[in-house]
Amino acid sequence: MKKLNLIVALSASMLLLGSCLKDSDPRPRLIGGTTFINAFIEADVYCYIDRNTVPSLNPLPYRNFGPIPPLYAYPGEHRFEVYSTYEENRLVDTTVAIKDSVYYSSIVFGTHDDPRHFITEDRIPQGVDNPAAIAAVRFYNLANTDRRMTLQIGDLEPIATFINRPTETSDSGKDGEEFIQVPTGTYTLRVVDEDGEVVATRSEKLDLSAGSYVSIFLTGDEREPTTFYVGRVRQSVN
Amino acid sequence: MKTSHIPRLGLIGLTLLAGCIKDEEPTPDVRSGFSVVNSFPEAQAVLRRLDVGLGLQQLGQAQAYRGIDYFAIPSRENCRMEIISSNDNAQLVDTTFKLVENRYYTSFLFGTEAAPLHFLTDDRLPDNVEDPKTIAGVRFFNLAGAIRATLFIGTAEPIATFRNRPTETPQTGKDAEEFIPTANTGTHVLTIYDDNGDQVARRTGVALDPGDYLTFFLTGNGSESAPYYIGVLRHPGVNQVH
Repeated sequence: MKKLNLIVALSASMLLLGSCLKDSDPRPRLIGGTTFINAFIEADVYCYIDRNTVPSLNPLPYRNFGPIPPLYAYPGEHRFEVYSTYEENRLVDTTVAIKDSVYYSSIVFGTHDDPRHFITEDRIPQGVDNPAAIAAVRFYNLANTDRRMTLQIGDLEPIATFINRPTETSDSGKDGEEFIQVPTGTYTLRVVDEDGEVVATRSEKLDLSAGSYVSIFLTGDEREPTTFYVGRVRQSVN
Repeated sequence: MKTSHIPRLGLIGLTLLAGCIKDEEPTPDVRSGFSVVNSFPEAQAVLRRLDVGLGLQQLGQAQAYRGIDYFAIPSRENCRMEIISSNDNAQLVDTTFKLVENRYYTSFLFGTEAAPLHFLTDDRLPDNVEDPKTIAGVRFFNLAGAIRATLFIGTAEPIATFRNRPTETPQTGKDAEEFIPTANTGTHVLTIYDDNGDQVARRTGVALDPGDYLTFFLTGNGSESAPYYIGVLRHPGVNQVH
């Protein structure tokens, strides 16, 4: 009897002590993460990190993005895969070196014949003292088209790198990852081709108030021109 | 201070209960893995019926043309299988085979209404494979009509036995049941050429990683209703000799 009392006492105290220790451990702040964007017009997709599906993106439909908040992954090498919902076609299989506290976007586009993908680091533009006081955007041509596309933001002077953009490649996507500061305001977004013909206009104006960091992209396919669409994703940056 | 008896009794009770549960564990079912492939274009669908000792019973649902399904079924010395076509319930296949426990098999239905064909493979690795998770393995069957097919996996030179393969017979299918190890891993475009050098089928985005065991098959007959198509069966398990 006495021995059993001792055992009970010991286990009870270990339990209590253990929970004390747990409470006083500082928890690391999990900053950063990845936003998955599906601009792959031919199918909805499944996204995998290290061979596990990304919860809540099961599947990720075309023209959708998530998760919100971005999916955190511990710093280090991670395997990113993207599969089409059509015939389990693997569209992307790549290794990404995730850095501490960085926000990323994983963008899939193209066709089953020519799937394309790139990953951006989503950063505050260089030299900005007060990130909450400015608005900044970046533009990607993710459409299946041979035409070169220009983004018009309201009546603003078109930004040089947003003029006559061909469809992105993995390299051009990464090269275009910087957000470019624009005056705050509310704007109609319009994409035109190199002949000045309007390709798509976003039906709702884009609110670029202070603290807005927005990726704007053209998606769609020449095989069906009614599919051209100007999308926007509000991003976390740091 | 009065000692509470509850933790002590709880501890004792838990120990006794755990012992009870252990003693009454039921023996596990002995099962075999059974993949089924429908490469029979002349019917909308087929139905398989299996007799594992309780008379012929339907296996799953009707399987559409090009369908690939997997079942875990009771192992037995003599398992009878019947395959019926959706065209007037014509019996296409009536066969018996042995299913060893914890082994994986694949049943391939192909041919025509006039001459339906079937073979069952033992989904086995070559003898010398140390760790199946570190390599990939592939098989290729030509289940299509009237064509000699060469399968290209990506841009690599075709594997010797995947060159100019005539339509299988049940014997050639069975003879080719062993997986061929390959280091050609990655995400591949598969293409099939006939012996005129014309491409007859193409399939993109096929994932072949270490630990993957895939069977590729050509199906169809080149007609509009059954164009040539490359099927991919991703094996849930493979058999090692030892």
